[in-house]
Amino acid sequence: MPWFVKARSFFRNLLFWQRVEADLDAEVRSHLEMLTEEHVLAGMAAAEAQRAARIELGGIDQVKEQVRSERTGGWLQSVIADFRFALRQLRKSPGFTAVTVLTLALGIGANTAIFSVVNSVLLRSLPFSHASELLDISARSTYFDFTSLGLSLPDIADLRNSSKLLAALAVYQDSPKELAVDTPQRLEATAVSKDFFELLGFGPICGRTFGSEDMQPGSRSVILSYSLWRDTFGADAAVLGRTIMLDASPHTVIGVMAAEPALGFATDSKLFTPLIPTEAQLADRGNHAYSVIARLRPHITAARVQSELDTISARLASAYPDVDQGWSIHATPLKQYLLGDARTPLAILLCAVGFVLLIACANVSNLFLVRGWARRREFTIRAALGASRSVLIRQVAVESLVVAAAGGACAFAFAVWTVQTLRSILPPEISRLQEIRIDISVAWFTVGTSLLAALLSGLAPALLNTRGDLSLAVGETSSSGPVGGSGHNFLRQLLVVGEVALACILLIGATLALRSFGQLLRLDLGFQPEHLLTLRLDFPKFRFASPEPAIIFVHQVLESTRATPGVTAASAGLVFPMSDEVAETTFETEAMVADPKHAQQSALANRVAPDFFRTLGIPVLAGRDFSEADIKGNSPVFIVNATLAKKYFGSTDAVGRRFSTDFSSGHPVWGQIVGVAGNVRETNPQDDFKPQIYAPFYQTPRIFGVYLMVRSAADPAVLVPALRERIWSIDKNQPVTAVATLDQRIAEVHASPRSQTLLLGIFAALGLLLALIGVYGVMSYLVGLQTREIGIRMALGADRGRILDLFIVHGLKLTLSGILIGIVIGLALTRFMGSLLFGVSASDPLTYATAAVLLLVVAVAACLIPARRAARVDPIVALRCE
Amino acid sequence: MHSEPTTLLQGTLDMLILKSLVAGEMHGLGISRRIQQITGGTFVVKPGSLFPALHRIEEQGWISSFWGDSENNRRAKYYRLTKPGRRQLEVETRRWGRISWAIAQALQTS
Repeated sequence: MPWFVKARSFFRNLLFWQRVEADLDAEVRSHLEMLTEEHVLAGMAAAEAQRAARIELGGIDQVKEQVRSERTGGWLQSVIADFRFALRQLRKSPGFTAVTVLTLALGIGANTAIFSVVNSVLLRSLPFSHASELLDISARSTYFDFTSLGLSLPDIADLRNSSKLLAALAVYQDSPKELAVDTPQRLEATAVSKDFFELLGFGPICGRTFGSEDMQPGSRSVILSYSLWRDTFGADAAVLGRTIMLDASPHTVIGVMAAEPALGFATDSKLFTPLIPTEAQLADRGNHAYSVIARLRPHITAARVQSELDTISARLASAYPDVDQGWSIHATPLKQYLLGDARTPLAILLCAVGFVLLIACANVSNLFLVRGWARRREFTIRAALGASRSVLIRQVAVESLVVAAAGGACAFAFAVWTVQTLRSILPPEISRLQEIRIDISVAWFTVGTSLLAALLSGLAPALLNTRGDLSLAVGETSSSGPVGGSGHNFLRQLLVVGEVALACILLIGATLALRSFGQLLRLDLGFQPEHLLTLRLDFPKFRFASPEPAIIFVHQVLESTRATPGVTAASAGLVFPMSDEVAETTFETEAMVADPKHAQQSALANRVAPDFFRTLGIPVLAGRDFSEADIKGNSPVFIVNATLAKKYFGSTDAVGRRFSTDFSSGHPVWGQIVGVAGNVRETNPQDDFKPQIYAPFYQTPRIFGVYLMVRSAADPAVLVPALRERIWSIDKNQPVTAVATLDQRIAEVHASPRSQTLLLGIFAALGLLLALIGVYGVMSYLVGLQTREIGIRMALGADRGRILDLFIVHGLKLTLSGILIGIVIGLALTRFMGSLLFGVSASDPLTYATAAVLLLVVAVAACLIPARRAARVDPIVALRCE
Repeated sequence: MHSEPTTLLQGTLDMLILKSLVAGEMHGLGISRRIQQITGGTFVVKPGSLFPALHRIEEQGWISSFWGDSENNRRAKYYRLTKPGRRQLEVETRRWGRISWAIAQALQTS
């Protein structure tokens, strides 16, 4: 049959159903009349003819119904009718509707919110062309504890020549630039190889990117980022071809890049300059200073590239053993590289909201079961009147679908409304956080989740409520004892056990996060972060050709800073605890040199000005602090931390011992330990203490910049303008960057565990609340069912206390089973949280006990109200209540 | 959602309706009487089967309907065979011929 005939009938039946119905009605009636007429003609009396005709027809409505079920699209009309009926039913019981819709809205909403994050952060591809083909190529060394270091230019050249799987390879390097506008500014800038932008597929909005002519030595082309162009150059198109002063030398603007969201990648830079290496840099195989991005050939996997890179790095290591031994080259898909550790916390949150949804569905399922029990008579009568089981199941399914759809709609509206709030509670180091938005895939996810919720919450009611048992419904009176649907009862209690188990897992997860965060807050950092301010001063080559003027400048700045009112102590260091930067070095002691099989050891390193330890509040355990006399020309001296002293010299009192290190000098220098300082938490507070070496700042052979450390009596932030002015009065061209208090930096470090804890806490609270409602619901239902039994018991002499105990014990049994299951599953699942926990084990007994006790208390509270209602039952009323 | 136990019979009914309309347009009761007549009283089509079948066949495009006056000047819905309906009847007739021949063969073999 041609499809359009069917389609025409379908639309006619759907759109003009009133006309179609009227037509059918007229046809059947005319048929009836003609039948009657036939009988009259055959000689029957009018009344009898009518009766015979009716019998022959078999009921006007039955005939019409049969025609309707034959019609194209007839099923749709029945479904529409089901929807109308469901809506009517739900409107009739607004309380039930509100509770179910709200419960599902909470479950679906939590999922939608977290999915919107996962979608933006994990799923959406990077804003580059064929972004999945992009790889970060970095190096690792067995000598250093960094997971990704740069490569050297000769190694990059070899890589480019020998790789058959990489289609293209571009080099870039952080290369901050100073731009004088009103105050001296230091801008994030990246020096890039010619093919960098082409490789990414990242283009300018005006002008051009670098060509061969820009890559010649002496060329001074620069490309502005969109944000710099907008903020500093007023989005002026005439900026192209203009000369701007960068690092005090003229550069020509050749292009402006398109706006891109912050990715935590080189493309966030304010400026781009051509990477023009010197002959020496091109030949220096030991200079691991260059970052590499590559594009895969089509249909090649990152894993295949990795095995190629392994071969290449092995070949490099044997060809250049003195520089390339111990180094390996690693390829990471760019997205994964930029995401870092965001996956585990998001997976945990996704798991948690999944549990919340399951609990919500269990609750709604329970409510539907109760309602189905209340409506069993309606169902059995409909079944008796000829409704098939499938029709009844469809009816129940449509009801849960309507509730889930309403819940999903509320959830989506809620998600749109809270996306802003969500951004502010999420761990700030998740890249692309600002990109989080509600888009079409989030909408589809909500639709999918709502369907799943409808299925989960409607399955049991659809199967159980429609199990028509005629005798049950018609013969039975309203509420006669606990015999009522033992299958129902069992399932409902099972649902509650499941809910409690899920809530228990959520609670365990949240408690673990909370305890871990508490440990983090109580952690002794080894220094006093309060009232401590840091400022960064950079000393680029164009302003400081040699280290001496920079050292003198720092000395002057420190003198001036210490003289500033409100400042109690000031010092300077190349790095400081809890900064993003760490320096590492290798060292050897006299004992190690004596041992022919010795290997160099690595340690954290820092160069600090005098008074560093007092300024930070780090105790000097033995010996002395550096003094103004520890300057170049005088003998090299070191201070080590307690860990290094104990590990390599056997005791904290290592003063007078000697070792050699090549820290920022390029060749090993022997020196004497003059002091031992307390251990300090560096960057990651979760790590163990590592050996650390401090060298005098005033003996530094090279200097790129320092952090000023300023301790004040009151809030250090108010000192900032004065400190800046004092620095500029010494050198008006010195940019001052990275101004932050230590408390701010610590808050940043804590932000991720804090948001993790907060979100897990919210979800656990939701789970707990829903489980509470679930337990309460089942217990009140049981009490309701057993009112008569309670009445009889009381009439026979049971006292109220016993009745109360009976129900509480029952509720506790359910809860305890749930808790036990929850603990077993929790033990299996929380292992995945291990990497995020600090100072608390994933199987921490106290946590499990806390979660269990909390749930028990809540469950007792939930049982208490129905149980007391049971205990207050008046035997006379109860027995009469039939 | 609605299962017919005997699809063969349903197909047969459709064929008989189409056949009864070859002679000309007819209303529902007329079709029912006509089938009764041409099958020698073997098939008595009840309205409960007739009307769903008529509507089904009409939706297939094999018959078309219009309102007209009956022999007793009563408004009645008339059905007439369409061109695709005529073709369908030929197809059905051939098929039925094959089936009845095959079944007769099957029943004759011992």
